[in-house]
Amino acid sequence: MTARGHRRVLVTGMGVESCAGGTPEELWKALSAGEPALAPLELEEPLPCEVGGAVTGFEPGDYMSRQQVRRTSRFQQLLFAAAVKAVEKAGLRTPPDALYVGTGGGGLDESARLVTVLRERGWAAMNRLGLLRLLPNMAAGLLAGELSVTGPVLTLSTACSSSTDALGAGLRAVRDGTAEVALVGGVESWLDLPCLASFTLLDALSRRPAAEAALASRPFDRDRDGMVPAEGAGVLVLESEESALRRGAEVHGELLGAAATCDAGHAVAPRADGEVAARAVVRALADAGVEPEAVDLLSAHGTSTPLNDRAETAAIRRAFGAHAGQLAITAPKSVIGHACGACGILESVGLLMALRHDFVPPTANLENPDPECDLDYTPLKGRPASLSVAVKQNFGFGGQNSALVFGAA
Amino acid sequence: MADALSLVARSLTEIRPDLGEEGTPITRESVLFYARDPGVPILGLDSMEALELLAILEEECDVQLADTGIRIAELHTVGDVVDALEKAL
Repeated sequence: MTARGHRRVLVTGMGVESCAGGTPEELWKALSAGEPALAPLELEEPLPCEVGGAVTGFEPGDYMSRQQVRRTSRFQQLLFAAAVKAVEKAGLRTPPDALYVGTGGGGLDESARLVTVLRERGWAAMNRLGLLRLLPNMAAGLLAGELSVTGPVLTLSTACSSSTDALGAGLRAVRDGTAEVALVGGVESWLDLPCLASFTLLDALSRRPAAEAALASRPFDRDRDGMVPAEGAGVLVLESEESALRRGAEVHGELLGAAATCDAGHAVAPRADGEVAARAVVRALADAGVEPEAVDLLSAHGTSTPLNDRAETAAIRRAFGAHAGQLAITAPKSVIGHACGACGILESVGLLMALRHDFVPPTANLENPDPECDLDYTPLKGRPASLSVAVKQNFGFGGQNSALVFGAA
Repeated sequence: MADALSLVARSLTEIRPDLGEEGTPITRESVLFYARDPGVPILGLDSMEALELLAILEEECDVQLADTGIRIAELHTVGDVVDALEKAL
């Protein structure tokens, strides 16, 4: 039991598919070294955004049957692979009791493909299983079938906070006894032309040329010019302490608290004062029973857009008060780009690895800090530190603000 | 007729490799889904597999079976699929 009388919720398995690699160790290697895993995008036609974080070398057939590969689209395949690895890593022998998945767009890329066929060749030529490849909940549905999850199987879509919120839902399910073991995932596959063009039209993406791929994502730097899109998936196994002890499971960390708020204002711009975003962190800390001063490390949302990074700095100052100046902060999107609905879970894996290694990973490309982003964002070089408690925060279109509190194993 | 049947049979084993591996005979009379009469040979497809079968045949033959008004519920045997395919060709 925690100090607040809650059942403890431990992380006993992790699986990833990311542009920095297909294991938590590979992801950590890139994050801890501050080496961006971003590259020129391969697009069917040129767009002003030229850089992204694609998952390369991914073979869905390594994880799925031929039939499953044929029936599924990329977001389903990425999540499936990450889940297979997480379950294997956790050594689970019985089905999880619940499954929560966060995704911003689900199979938006598949949707665009269907529309192209519809316009060019007519409705009858569309993929007969197309609908099942694009519905956002079908990644979770596929996994539920594979793993025989007959309890709650829910898909949350809160833009870039999706998997952060999914982790919050998983935490509550294990805490309240709905599940002894809950699988929580996040996935996004949005490196297709219509998605990227849409984000470009919102002027949200970096326009750095392909030749400067490694320099494109630079959260909190004064020369930042937008986010760098990335795809990926991550899955964490959340488990009650009793179940983990009974199984003798390896523990990677503890999920202590979660909370979410909504700016309830602008569709894409965050509140400049960070007031409501800060409230998400304050509530997550209260949920965890942790004082702000006890937090050693904060993993920022850090999109590398001019507005967001400033508003996030304001939010951190509000949430942590005087402690904000002492807080070690890192911005993982400088290395792995912005995986939208999957960013929360991939960055949580990074945070758990940081806790395990007692090492603050750097913010890559933070060469000239924006004067309005004046906190310790760990520029360029990581450092060893004693880490016990860490916060992960993510924000999304629609005014979504979500925060998680993790503890070291 | 023989060509369409062998094409359907080949597509079926592509979707369900186990049918080929086990040497399940695929004839016009083979029931696609299930049969009330235990003596009738059945392939035991599910509805997703039936959709995939149509998709493969459409691609192989460059036809659009959806245009023929074909409904999954009306396909009972391999022969029904063969007939639908021949109509579309």
